[in-house]
Amino acid sequence: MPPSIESHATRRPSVWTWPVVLNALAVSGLVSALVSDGWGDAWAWAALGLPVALMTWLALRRR
Amino acid sequence: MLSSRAIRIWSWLHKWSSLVCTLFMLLLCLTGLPLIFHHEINHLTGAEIEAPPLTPAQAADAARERPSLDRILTTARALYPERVVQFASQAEDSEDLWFVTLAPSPEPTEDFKSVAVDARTAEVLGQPKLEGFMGVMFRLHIDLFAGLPGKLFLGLMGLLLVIAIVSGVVLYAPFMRKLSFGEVRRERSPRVKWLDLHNLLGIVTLAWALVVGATGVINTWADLLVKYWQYDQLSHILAPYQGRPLVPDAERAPVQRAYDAALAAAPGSKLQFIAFPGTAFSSPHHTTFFLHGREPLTARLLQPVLVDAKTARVTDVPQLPWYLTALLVSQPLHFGDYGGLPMKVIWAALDIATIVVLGSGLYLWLKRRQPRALADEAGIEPVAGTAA
Repeated sequence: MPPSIESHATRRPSVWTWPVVLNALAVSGLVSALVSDGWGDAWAWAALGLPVALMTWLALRRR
Repeated sequence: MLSSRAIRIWSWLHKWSSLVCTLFMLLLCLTGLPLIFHHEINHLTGAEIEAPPLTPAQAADAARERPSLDRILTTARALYPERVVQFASQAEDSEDLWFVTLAPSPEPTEDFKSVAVDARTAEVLGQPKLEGFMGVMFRLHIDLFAGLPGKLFLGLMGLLLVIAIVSGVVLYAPFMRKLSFGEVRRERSPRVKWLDLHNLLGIVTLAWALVVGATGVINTWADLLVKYWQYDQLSHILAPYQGRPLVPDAERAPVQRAYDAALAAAPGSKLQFIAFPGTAFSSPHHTTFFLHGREPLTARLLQPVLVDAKTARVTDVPQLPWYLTALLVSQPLHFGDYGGLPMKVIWAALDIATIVVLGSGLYLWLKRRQPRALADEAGIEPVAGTAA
């Protein structure tokens, strides 16, 4: 069976949805700390820390 | 969607670009980890020289009149009378400290001595040395103890890393088609489990790894970019001085006067470092002051001010070219030192995640045919051969 038909049928979110969201977040954090010292730093900690936390949880969780 | 031929080509690219650079990248990740915290580590081990509190009498003296820059330099030179001053800089977070770099001649060299002088009392506070554990980490990370060729070699490895990351991203989709995001198939063989972890950690650290990799590569070109700048721009400014010898010590105007003239030429800025005549960042006839702004963004950018070493008059205030601006902006993005300690901790976590990505990639390659091709076992359609 051609894989494309299967993936249409199951209607999962695209393979790229989460990677794009998490990496866009990380980039915003990398830039924000560069241009502003107060809020920029705080945003950077959240925007870079969140993907790291999610990744760690996914990698270590037991089902 | 990728054809099976396209998957084969990208797999080949991913495999070879990774294989060539992986061991060096592991070395860079491991040595980079303590370097993220070099400030904190030096502070804790006492290797960092700090300005001590003054006695009331000393404080009163310092408030009345700060020692001139010339007195600071004389103090440092007294320790090494046979050497010349190449550079002088102030501590990043304190105007109470001067660091003076002395070498046998103005020529670029690895043989330099650094002397820390109290800016308030002109007393020697110590001689910072780049040695011991942190020194080894630093040299291994920067140039493998091999100077410019070592730097450029590591830069080339960094380019391969960028290729490996991009090709890895292209391969992410065919490998993840049947899985939801972050799914790790632990119930399957160790190979499949580590493949899923490789993909998860690789895709989440993607933007960071690309930024740190690319800015690291740019940093390896720093020496060449500065040389090009001198050839490209400074040679025009210095044309009237052509053919004149290095200004001898006895004919130089007081450095403090040159410093004051430089600050007046770029109001509101602060000193980053001074390059003395004949050194790599100056000309034989100038003392060059590299100043920076005080805002988060302008603090990273340098404004050179060339001051005639004989007359202490400003010769020119050239705009830094785009390639040096790019270099300076890329440095914090590589070091992760621009968002306080929380950012350094995140930097370390991402560095460790990258070590896992590199290690699992190597593991998957070593186990690529046991007992059957990995892509086959992991359920890639069409079968891609050895993708990892």
